[in-house]
Amino acid sequence: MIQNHRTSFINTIRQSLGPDIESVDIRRKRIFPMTLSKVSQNLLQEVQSRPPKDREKLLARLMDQAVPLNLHVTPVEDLKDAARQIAALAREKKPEWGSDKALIRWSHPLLDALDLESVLAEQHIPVHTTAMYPKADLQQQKKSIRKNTIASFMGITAADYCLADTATIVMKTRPHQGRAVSLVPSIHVAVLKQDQLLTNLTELYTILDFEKKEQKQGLTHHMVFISGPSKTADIELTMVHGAHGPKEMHIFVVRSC
Amino acid sequence: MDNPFTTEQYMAKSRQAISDERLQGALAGVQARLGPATQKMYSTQPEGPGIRHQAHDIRQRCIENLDILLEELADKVAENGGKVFFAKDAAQAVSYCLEVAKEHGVKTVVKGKSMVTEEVGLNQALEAQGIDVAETDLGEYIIQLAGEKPSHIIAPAIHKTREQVGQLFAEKLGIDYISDPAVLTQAARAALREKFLAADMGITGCNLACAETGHITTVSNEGNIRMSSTLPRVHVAFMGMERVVATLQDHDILFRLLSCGAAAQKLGGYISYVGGPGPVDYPDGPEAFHLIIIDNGRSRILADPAFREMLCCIRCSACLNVCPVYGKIGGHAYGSPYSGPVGAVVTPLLAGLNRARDLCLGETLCGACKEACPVDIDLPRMLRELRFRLAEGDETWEATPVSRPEKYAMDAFAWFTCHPFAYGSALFSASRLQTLAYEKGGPIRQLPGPLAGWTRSRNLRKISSRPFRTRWKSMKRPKLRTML
Ligand code: SF4
Repeated sequence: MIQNHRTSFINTIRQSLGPDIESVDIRRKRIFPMTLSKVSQNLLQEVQSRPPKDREKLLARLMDQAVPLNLHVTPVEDLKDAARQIAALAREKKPEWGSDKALIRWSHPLLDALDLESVLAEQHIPVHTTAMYPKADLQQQKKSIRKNTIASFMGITAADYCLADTATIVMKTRPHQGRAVSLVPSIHVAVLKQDQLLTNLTELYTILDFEKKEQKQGLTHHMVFISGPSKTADIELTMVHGAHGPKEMHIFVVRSC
Repeated sequence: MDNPFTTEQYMAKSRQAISDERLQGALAGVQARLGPATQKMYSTQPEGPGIRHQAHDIRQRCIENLDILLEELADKVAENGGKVFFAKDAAQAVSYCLEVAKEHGVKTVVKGKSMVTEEVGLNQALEAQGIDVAETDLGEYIIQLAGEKPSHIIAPAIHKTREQVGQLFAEKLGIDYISDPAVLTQAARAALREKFLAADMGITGCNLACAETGHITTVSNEGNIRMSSTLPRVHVAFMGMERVVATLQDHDILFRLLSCGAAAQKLGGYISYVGGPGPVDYPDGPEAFHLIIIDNGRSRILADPAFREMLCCIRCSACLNVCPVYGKIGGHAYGSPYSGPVGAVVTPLLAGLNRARDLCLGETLCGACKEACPVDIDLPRMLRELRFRLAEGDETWEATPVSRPEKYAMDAFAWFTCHPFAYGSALFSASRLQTLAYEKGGPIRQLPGPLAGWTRSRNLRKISSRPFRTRWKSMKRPKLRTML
């Protein structure tokens, strides 16, 4: 293996910064402030005690912002309603590659509760999941999950948060939750609860940084933000949806569950 | 490799661009669309237009602590199971990547758009090893098929019309000719889906890493970078060493500004935070993740206080969208993946001041780029600084004076302006001499000898027989005291 030059690389930078720089310890403390600022503290509190009527406003804002992004946001009363609507989509939409219809979803409590398997059983549309079983051969499981993801025309995920200002869903990567589910199928459906709505990036980062549980967990090894379906304007600046990722994206916001 | 920065090349490519009517239309189109829209978005940020200065301070602080940030980032990535390689130059970066490819038996590569990989010449090196490399950003894919170079940082194929793309796809992808962007995009989607699903390795750049959490981030609207970093077995990310911030709080502002600057968007369509490979018991994600951090001349920029500011750049391309020079000569004339004002400063600094000197001499110093830059980088100041170093010569940059006679002329001029009597006499003699050489009335249309260059495209006014200095003496003017 080629030799790694980390030490000399960092030393070169230090030299380039000049002879007057302060010690690493002093600069470190300054650049990574460990304490929660007053502003962040207030913001955190505001988010955590947000009254229901403000959450309703966030939902309205999300719906507004989603329109120009070609992102469909549908509020639903409960999980049953969500399941019914997803099933309707699965029935109506045509698969982009091949003719067989199949769905793939995360293994996640909210999605398990939808029970799409039985809702779609009548139509004979299979619903795959990305659950992994630790006892069985991992490589074999990964292989078949990949095959199923590629064969599915709809991918269904939950999300950690949703930012109303930019119509962005935020997903950390956790076990049993395939990253490709929101990427490879032609249609991506995300299901979330209304109390997962936040205003903007600033609120999100404050929570990720300072909320106890989030702080402990960290960002995980991979996190993704998605704001609408895939798009490109690379040919004469003409907007086209569905460059490489999903052509269509739906968010169902469950009011009570 | 031949020098893509010669004066002849610069002139020829510029001329070619200026005489290409369709290209002129396309360039004007991008600028009209993105320039004003971006400006408007800055002022609608909750922090107000001052957000650009705030962002500048953040970037400056990060650059001044770059040693700490990179070590933190590297440690965190290693904790998550990723490998970090520090490359002093292009050769080290490329050979490390080739080694990784060999180790994993890589035959095919899919790439997300990354300027730094262009800078180090990665594609050619991979191809020389018999590895198939596919650019997957639609614009990059188009120019790769056409065997051309990117002409805009964010919209690399902006110089191609829909008809040209239609012909290209008909030829290379075997589809029927059509010029509808939607159908063409679908054709590329289908072709590249095969590539994504089959690729052994995905290569991406990095928009802005976050040291505190230990992640690189990538942004795209198409989803191609997510594909490249999710589906193949191996993910290799290249990052210029300056592309890192300390905390998520820093990220917040810079990400919003990057999205505004790049595409007048509130937030890029897909933003991925990658901190390591996919763990073995997770359903997907690459089994190996390598991060290559590249110096390649950046530490020299860091060491020069006059140019350090350039490392604040987040390569958003907002400055291209307002630049009157870029708007005419397009991206190809700049001879490198970095075009427009950012290229005019960064390319000479990376490739050699003398070698790429025309780039900094060609800009107008109008200042539009500074106003458009989301991190308020003073590009015009650095353009002037580059010109200064080129005029005077500079050892640390191995710069030799571009023109000795010009330098001597300027030195002489400086001396005269500091010696009023000599200045006055010289001016007097010149005003007498000009009556011998030029007829009365009208400007001087052609200067003699080596000075002729000055009058090739402009006229020179004659020296007045009663210069301002003389008039000033006899002028009635208010007493200084009454003015105060
Ligand atoms: S100089 Fe400023 S505007 Fe130009 S690419 Fe860099 S960050 Fe963007």
